[in-house]
Amino acid sequence: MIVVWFLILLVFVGTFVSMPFWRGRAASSTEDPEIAALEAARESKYREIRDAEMDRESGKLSEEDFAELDAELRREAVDILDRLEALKGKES
Amino acid sequence: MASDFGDAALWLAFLTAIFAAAAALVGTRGDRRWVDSSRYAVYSFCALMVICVVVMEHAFLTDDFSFNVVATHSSIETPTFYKFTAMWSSQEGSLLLWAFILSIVSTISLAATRHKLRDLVPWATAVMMGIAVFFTGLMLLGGDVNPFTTISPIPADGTGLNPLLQHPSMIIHPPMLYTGYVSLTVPFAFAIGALISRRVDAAWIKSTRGFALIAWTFLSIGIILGARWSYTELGWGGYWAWDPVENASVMPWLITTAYIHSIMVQEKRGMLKVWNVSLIVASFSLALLGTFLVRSGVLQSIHAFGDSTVGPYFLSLIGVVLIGSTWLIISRLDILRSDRRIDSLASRESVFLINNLLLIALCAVVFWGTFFPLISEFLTGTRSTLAAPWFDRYTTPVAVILVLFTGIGPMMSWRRISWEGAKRVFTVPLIAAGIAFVLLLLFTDAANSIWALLIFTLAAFTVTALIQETWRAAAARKKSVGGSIFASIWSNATRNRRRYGGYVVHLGLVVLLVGIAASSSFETKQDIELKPGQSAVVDDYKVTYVHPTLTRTEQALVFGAELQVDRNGKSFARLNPTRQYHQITDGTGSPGIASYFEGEATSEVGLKAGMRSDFWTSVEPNTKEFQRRARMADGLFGAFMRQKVLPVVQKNPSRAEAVSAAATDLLSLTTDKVIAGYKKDNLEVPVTIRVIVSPMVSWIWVGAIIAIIGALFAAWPSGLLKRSRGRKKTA
Repeated sequence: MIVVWFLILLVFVGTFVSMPFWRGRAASSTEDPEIAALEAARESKYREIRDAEMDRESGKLSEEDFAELDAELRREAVDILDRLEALKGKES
Repeated sequence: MASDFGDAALWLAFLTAIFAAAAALVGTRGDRRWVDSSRYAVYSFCALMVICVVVMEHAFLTDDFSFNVVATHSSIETPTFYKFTAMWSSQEGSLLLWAFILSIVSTISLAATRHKLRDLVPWATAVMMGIAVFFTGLMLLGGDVNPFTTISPIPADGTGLNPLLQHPSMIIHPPMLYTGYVSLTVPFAFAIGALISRRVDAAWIKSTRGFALIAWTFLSIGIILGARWSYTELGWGGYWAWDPVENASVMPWLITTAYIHSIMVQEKRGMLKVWNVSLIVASFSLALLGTFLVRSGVLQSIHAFGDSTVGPYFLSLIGVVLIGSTWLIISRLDILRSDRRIDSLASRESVFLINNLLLIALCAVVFWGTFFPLISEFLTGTRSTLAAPWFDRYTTPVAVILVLFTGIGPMMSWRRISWEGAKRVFTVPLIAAGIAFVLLLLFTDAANSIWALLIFTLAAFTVTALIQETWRAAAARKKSVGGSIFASIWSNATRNRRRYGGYVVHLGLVVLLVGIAASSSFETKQDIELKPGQSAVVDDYKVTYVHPTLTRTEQALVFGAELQVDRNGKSFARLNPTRQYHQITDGTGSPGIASYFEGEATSEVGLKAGMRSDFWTSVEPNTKEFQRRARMADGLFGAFMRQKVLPVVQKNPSRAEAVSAAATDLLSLTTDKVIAGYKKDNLEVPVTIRVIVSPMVSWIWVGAIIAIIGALFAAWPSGLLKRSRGRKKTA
């Protein structure tokens, strides 16, 4: 009886697992890893900018320190955005 | 038969996992169809695991004793609720649970990343399914651990579930711990994928951070439930015994805590990459180690399933994971170099690095103490054990420093904090700590324990720091957008879930550590022997032993003591701690009432809990006289059976079943008679009562709940509620 059950289940599993090969649609697309890495870096940089603002609000950073740090972070963010734009431009 | 269906599903799951791993590896060459096929195979593996679990649970719930695991871990009398949970009380069932949870987390992680991390996901899939192949293969080929093994002839009843496991905490504790252990598979697999594919940027962390947090949360729930169960069920009055399996759950928790903090540094600053991959490898290895310890029998523990055949297989898997991962990390050191250096020691990055070192040190202490019996046997030939005082001596100082850094961390800024900035943020918490220190010295006996005094003082520092952080940020927001301060706090929190969730977790952990410090440093423990009517004074409490209690449940004799507890002349509590003696039901015990004293004995404590202190009692009854009467009754009953009943059955074998049922009823009546007679005689038998007055134990449970709420808040996907409302509106 084990063999019978095994074969019945195998039909279902086999059909499902082989779908990517016979369904005729293109395989799933994925984002470009370079773009994904830059997008992750961009999100992280926005978070850093927000953190710096919160640090200023809670008194950890003086206005001068914040201004210097904020400028540095925004420069880094712009750099990431530029690289992202260049990559996306290449793709299209 | 149902077992055939389950067995077939398990075999197919094993083969499907092999296919999924192989297809994923083929897919690494670039053909997306193989990657998709491997992902569908993972979904299929999950469906097959669901079938296996459903078949298993159905067997338990319908008392299908053709299943060996059901016959040995359940019975007709077992309450339905505990029949459902009995699956994971067995070696086989717990392996099945592990594989089942793995199938779910694998499915979720691959569904979430199906359009992402193209280079990495196939490798991660292969790793996850490699682990799945191990667990399913172990059940099928690793000895006597197939959950679908049948027995013949089928017994009429099972041997029942261990009475120690029939407790609400035991229903939830194993699945929570296992979910914690298994969830670590995802970040581990993706880390390996990142290393192999040389994609060690923060993208893989972003996709798996949630799983690390979920693992931490479930490990926390599992650990605290275990501690609570120990406190209320085991009768020794403690919540933590540094038991090897307890330690085995704490070690991955400590390293995962370090990992969760450390990945923030990589995300923000591109640093600590080697740390992060090493930490997740260590976490996962320790999770496997914990799973191994429960199964191997190498270390004695209340949790252990005892000696089994699977230990060597687990050790091999741990070896492969450690050696393979280490080789990978070493071979990728060139790309794991930090993008930047630490700008300043006075920075959040530095604090997190120190945090890593402290948590690893704590883990190392626990590891050394846990495995010392094996180490000492290997080195000296003699097995020596390190007891709780050793662990306390070396973990306490590290825990104290961690409390300090729990407050310092949130106050530091990324990159660097200036001297002026440090003065601005540290002044108020330091003042609060100073005030707390002085008040504790003047008005409490905290000075009697230097470590407790330090923890209380540093707790004041940390709590003040967290409140200050929250308040200042809210005040700034209120200034710019208006509204109430509390609306601003909530707005800030929901916009920065990780930060504020982290604050709540820190708060919870501080509360928990204060509870541990107070309860362990200032408890009063006394064993008192009382006869009915007698009293004793423990701490500020007068304990009077009012009368004994004795009842019978379906499977146990319950001896107890009714206690009246007074404080300052007023009634404080009425408690009834009991000790239950469970009958042996597997047919190996003596016939008659004596079998109650041959099985497991469990305790129900008498507990009055409060935020200030817990009043805890347990009883060790004197059953000598009762056992004497029981033996006498058993002797008379046995003689009656041999002289009057057996000859009848021998003459009329067809009446054997009816006679057996009547004999069981008669024995039951006899037991009740013995109990009634014992109670009526009202003997002045003394009992030993353990009384523990433990300050602030409840803070441990409250602190844990706060920490878990914080973790769930941090893990909640931002904007999820908004996105779902948006979808409803457009629909």
